[in-house]
Amino acid sequence: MRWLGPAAVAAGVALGCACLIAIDPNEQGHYPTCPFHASTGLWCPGCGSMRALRALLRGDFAAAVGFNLLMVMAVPCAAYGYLAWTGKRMGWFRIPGIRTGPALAWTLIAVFVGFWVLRNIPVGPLTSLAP
Amino acid sequence: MSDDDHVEWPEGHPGQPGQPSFPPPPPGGQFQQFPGDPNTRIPNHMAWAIVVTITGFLFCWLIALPLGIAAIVFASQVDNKKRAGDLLGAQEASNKARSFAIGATAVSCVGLLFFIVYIAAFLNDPSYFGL
Repeated sequence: MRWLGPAAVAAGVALGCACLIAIDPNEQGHYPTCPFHASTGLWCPGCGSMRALRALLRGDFAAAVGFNLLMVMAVPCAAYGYLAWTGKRMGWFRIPGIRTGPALAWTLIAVFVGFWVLRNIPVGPLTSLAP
Repeated sequence: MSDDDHVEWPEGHPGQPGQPSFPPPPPGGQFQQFPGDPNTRIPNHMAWAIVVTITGFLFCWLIALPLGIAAIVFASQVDNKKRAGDLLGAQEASNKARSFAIGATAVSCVGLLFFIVYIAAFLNDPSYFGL
């Protein structure tokens, strides 16, 4: 049953991708609106990530970066982490996994909060961070 | 994922497997078999804490966030306490990190469920959403 975890994650990702292709997040009402954006009108760090993922799936990298830069950067990290985890768990290959520790956790939170603030500043180049 | 979280002991540690003074840790991630044994593997649950904090933020933003942050705080104490020789404290921090991570995971799952129900309702009757 070692394959259960990796298989479940792969199935979930495939289902999510299929959903994003079949149901366009660019249309109003297709998905629930982000509760932070709905209540404040400001962008949260995750706003635009579904549209970014859909753009990535369709090969439009520039549009994906425009929707959510953080999500575009997170995709290769998540893919690498999944590869390392699956290879180790199944005994197929061994590549160094992402070292999780306090430093990484606090860095991620700082990046998250920084992105949150910056994409809400309506000045100059920062506006390109908003979806 | 918890396989990645174990603390590896340096070579030559008195509690290394193979030395007669301590029994080796049981395979398969059984913890706290021998309280006070430096061989005991204490998972820090850091990867889980980080992932669930971010997904919790995206799916259920304000409710899962404090739980996830608490999980990260306790997860970051595990390795430090173990390095300082405080095995019981490390185990306690590990258990607390696990509890908060479970809570954040549960809240995230409720958020995800809401998401799925919303999409199902939309597919069932788009006119309900004014489209």
